[in-house]
Amino acid sequence: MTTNFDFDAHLRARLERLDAAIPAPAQPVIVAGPVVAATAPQPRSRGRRRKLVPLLAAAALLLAASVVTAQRFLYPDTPEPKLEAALGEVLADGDGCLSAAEARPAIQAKLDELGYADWDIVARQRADEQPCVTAGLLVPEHSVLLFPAMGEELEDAFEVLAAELLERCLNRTDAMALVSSVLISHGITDFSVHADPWGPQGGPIDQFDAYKQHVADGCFVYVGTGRNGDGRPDYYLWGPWP
Amino acid sequence: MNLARAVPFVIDLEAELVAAYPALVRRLTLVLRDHADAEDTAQTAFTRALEHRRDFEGGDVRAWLYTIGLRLAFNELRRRRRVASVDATPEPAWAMSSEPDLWIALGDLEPRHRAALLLSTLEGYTHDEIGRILDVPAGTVSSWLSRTKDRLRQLLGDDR
Repeated sequence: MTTNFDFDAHLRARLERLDAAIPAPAQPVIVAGPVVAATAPQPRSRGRRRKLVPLLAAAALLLAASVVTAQRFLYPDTPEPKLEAALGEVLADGDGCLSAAEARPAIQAKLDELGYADWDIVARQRADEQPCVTAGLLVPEHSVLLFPAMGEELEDAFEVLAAELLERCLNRTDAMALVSSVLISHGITDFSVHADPWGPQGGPIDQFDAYKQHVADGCFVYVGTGRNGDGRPDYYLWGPWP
Repeated sequence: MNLARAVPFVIDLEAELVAAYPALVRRLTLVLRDHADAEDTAQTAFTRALEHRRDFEGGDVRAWLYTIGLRLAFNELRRRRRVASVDATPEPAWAMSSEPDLWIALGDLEPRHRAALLLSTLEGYTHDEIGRILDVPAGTVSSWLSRTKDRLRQLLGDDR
């Protein structure tokens, strides 16, 4: 027996019910200040939400802008989607922390496999000396660039640190000491912490008003990290003018 | 080092991206079948859209964001195929308490077909618009949607 059953309408109604049941997402993170190109997507542990990661990733490349702005990740028309996807696969290994020594042969294998015979792999910002790297494409020069990366464990620590700074009201000295202690506890000793009034300002979009208010109240918040010309990491705090 | 004093920025494009963001997360949740991964992927798409705002040539901001987000999602699914072994993740409670058989049936579809279905049914995009988002001809979208609905009819027992 044939009925006038409208499958499309029925399916739409069911999809809308399923769609409505999806948990509400957190607000996206927005970066204040100059934004530079990011690298291939990094793997994430299941169920983990890292609100500050994009902020940190962007800030990490802030000082390398002269190099990174030459990249051409022209989404949605990325010029090298296969290679970018391959980089994502490579960087997915190593539990979020792949050294340059580990990444180089894996990336080279991908270049060979995909027929990118005239591409090379170049370390920037002393990436060869860092425990974790991330990668980007410098398409005009046919280069895969390796940049230092934080590694998941340190990212997690800084996520907690950022929350701690927002929870408390630390002055410049105490906030810098807290950042330093987190780094030293992770075995990082060659770094700089900056808390200058002319430094970068930023925060997750869903907390940005709270960040601004916290600074207005005389407290310091964590903004992100970058690299100086020698590849040494810089960590930035944002606080009130003295 | 030349770090200029950075000033928080909010322009219309950003506002539109922020407005489109929750829907992107929901679509990616159904494409990736993992809410946390969907949030991470959507965040990456959002960041990249901001980074490449100068490349946006006007038009539908939401479609542009979907284009970026879905490409990242398909990359993530390819990566999963390379590294995944046994997926022992339980089905999400929110799906099991709303439309469990539909959720499971959607998992049987090829991800790009699933995305096309969502863009058509939930977003109301035309086949031509979906084709631009997924970078395939409109005719391919039509074919995918036809086959996808036939498959869902079978899976859902709605083949009346």
